[in-house]
Amino acid sequence: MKTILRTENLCKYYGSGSNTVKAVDSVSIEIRRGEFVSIIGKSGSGKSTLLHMLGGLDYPTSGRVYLGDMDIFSMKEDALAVIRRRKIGFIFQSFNLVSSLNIWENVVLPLGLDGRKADRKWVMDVLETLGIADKINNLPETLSGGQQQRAAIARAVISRPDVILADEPTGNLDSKSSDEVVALLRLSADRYGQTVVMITHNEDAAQIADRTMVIEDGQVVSFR
Amino acid sequence: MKTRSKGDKLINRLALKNNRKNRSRSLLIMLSIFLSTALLPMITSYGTGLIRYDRAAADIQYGTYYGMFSSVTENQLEAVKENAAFTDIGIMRRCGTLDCAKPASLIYLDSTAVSLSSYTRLLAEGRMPEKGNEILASEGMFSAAGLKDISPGDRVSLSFRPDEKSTFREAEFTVSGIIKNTSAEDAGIAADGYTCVVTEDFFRKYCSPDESSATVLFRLSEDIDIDSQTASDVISGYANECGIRNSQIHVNTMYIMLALNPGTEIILTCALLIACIILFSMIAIYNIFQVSLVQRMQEYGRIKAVGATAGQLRKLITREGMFLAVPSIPAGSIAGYISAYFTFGWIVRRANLIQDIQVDSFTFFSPAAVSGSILLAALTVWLAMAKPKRTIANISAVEAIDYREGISLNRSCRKKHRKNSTGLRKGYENVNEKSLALANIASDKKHSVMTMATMGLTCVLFVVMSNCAGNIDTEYEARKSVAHGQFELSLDYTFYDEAYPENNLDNILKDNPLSSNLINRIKKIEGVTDVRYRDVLVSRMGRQLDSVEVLDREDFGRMYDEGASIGEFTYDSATENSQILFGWSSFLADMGFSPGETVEGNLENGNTSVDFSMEIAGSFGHSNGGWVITEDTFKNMGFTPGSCIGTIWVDCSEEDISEVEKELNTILADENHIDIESFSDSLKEQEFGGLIIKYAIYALLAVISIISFANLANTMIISITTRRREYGIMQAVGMTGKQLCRSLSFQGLIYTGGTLAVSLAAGIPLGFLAFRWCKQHALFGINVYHFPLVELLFMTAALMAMQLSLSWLLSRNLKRESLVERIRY
Repeated sequence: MKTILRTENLCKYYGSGSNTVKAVDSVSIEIRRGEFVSIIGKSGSGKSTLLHMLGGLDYPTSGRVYLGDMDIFSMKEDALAVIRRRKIGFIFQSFNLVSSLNIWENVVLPLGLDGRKADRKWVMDVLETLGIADKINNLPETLSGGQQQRAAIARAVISRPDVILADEPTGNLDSKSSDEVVALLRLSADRYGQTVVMITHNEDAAQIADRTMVIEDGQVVSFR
Repeated sequence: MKTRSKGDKLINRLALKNNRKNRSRSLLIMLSIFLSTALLPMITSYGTGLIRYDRAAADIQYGTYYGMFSSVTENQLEAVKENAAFTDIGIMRRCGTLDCAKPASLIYLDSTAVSLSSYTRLLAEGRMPEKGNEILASEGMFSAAGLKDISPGDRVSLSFRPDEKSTFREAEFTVSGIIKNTSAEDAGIAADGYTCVVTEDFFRKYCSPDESSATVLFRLSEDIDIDSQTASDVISGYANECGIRNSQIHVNTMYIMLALNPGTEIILTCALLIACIILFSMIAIYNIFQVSLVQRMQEYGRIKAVGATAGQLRKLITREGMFLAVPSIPAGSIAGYISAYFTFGWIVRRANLIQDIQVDSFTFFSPAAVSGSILLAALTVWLAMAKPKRTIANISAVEAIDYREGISLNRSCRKKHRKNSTGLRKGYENVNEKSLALANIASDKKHSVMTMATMGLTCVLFVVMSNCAGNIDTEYEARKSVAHGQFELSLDYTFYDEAYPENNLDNILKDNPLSSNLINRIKKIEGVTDVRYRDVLVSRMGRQLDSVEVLDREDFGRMYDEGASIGEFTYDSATENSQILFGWSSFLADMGFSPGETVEGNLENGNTSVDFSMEIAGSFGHSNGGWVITEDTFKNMGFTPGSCIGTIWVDCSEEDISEVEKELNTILADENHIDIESFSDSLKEQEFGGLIIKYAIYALLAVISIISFANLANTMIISITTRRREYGIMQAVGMTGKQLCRSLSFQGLIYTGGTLAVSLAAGIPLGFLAFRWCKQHALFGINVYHFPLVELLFMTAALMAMQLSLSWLLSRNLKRESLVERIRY
């Protein structure tokens, strides 16, 4: 399979001199198209920092991230934003839905920002798959955590991105909702052929991934 | 007790730290407090200053005596001195006449009379005569006596006689000072006669008090309650006790009217302005504070969770507000007072120039007014804190800690929200920057509406005041002084001059210098295109003399349209009913008259006297005479038009003005009792007045606008900082920096649109009503209504510029935090 996401000596350091903290230290990995990758590691090991840099949310101290053939940090800020809305979908632990927008608006937000009109049939298909088709007019605060995370997944897949990056998507959910969300992510990877990179503490969730990356002290100690 | 004081200290420390942490909010509140506090002492100082200036000007122009008794004998004088009702008794005596080309009398004034008559205002240079043969006279008098280039200190020889029984004799005088020229003398018209002031030594050396009657100037004791309506009766009562007849009494009506006026209109205007400022400031400070509370709700929740009582939280909010007020109020007061000091000083200097008086001996600093302003400013802050205090005190600790943006703060509101709201939003099929901005505003409707309402109200005030300021027509105002043409020639007269009875209107009309002969001479001046005139009569009602203007239909209508009239009347109704109209509506009641009342007396034109009994139809706002009748009534009474001309107007083209003026001065050089006023001079005066009013209005609006803008800026800053996570999320899912800026700008434009909608919907009709009110009350230069298009365009452009630049700045500011930091917030 073709490589969709690749890093070269990716580093993220905070502070300087003896106070330097190496959040991510010389990470060079390759993720193939359509793969479901889970990232596990202790708190503070650098998982989220790595994920943020993979998605172009945070800038590395050094090193490169390639999305396909594109070196994403060689781009200007606005061009990177365009890449994010077209090629990358994000799912966060705390859902991060926009509270002033209803579920439909939250879901179609990446399309709207890209100047594209929402394909109602496609959006409804996604929402039905995720089981929240009847909640489109609801404001996020009126939904349960599981429903909000489903809406976040819908937003992540709606623009058919190449990669979905999920940062502990089950962290704020009960076990039933957690299982459902992980299953949905697996389903969207299988059904829509998307690459999923998911940070998790949940061993069971990690089990359903094609490969698991283990991070310790900012370094990838295992990726199988 | 000790615990309480420790608790207080902790609250103080917390309040200070909160203020320090929320720097932008604190600065905006301090700016608002500073500006509103600066306005308050400015307004109170201006109010105090205007009242004191009016009184000081009245003192200078009319003297400070309540009245004077003429031809007072020594016995009467003693009786007056012994009567406790009279205080500050000044004595003025005739000391004879000088032998010169024009009548020149010598008088002596004691120091009290000098002070009461404000005689020193007439000094061009030098001082009042004090001893020996010192003399004070005008250049014109010295000139008439054949002496040129006289200055104080010069010794001059003049021929005089102390009474008409004596012959003229030479005496050496030392010139103590020079009296100012009259405006007629400045225009090249010689005076009819002169008054020279000599010393008590001179009087005692040449005159006998027993043979010379005195004129007595007096004030009444402070204990005596008096106003312009009762003055005549009260003074007559005390005078009669001293054996003084009514015919000897002359009441200084103008002084009593102006000096005893408590300045109610000025006080009311200031109170209205202060109320507006307090309201705007309160709303702005409240809104800034309330909006920032939302951001810090969790903090207050934590404080409550660790044991703070509702009372302590209320105290915390009050201290936060008051700590911001502590530096801002004194700074604002000082800034306001300094601004008032310099601007008012400038206005006084200009007003002195225009009125040809020198008022500088008063201070407009009023400790009561300034301390009142400080208290009002503190009260404004305290009132603005009331609602935030309630909000914080009423919310439960758990709710506050759990609080997330977009959820109502108040428990009751939250319950209501759950009960009544479905939690649904119709939303948009497709999302773009505009719909994001609209959704953002809709999510916090209350504060968005509050901000738009505050800004809108400021703009309403702007529209209303610009309606008034923009409609000031200085030419129209100038036409109130010079009604027609380029020059106005009017009779310069008095009514009760006993020393020079020839200056009294009844005597002037007997040999009227404004004659048809003069009109013919003026018509022959090259360049003169039109000459018009208006007759004037003398009315005698009991002891009271006054002038009666005779108005033709056109002038009658024009004067009525100037507004401030009392009563319903037209030219035809006044003619048909042979009615008389009072000339000054604001003095109608002061003079003891009312519409519908009948007045009796006789009207004189210098040759003929006609008895009359006329009903008062009402009053004009302002006229040149004390009374007014129509031209047809004038004819019906048997008077002939042109038989008693009081005013002549001369018109010419603009390029001929200076030539015509020169010719007029030449013709009038030989004429007495005529004042000349040019339209261009009147226009200059009114333009200055108009400019001051406009500056004052726009300066006030500018300050109120800054306060409201601080409110808007705060709402947008808080809205963006509380939503920085949401903006971060949007950027994480692909919003570019440009899109963010556009969305914020659109949000700003929605505020602008809402503000404009409020201001236009309420401002235009209110502005028109304000215009009509000003017109009805004949306020400065208000004549024809013009839609304030330029002002509105300026306001719109300023609002848009302010909001767009604010959006741009805020979107740049947002980038200072990384996306990840914002998402994690």
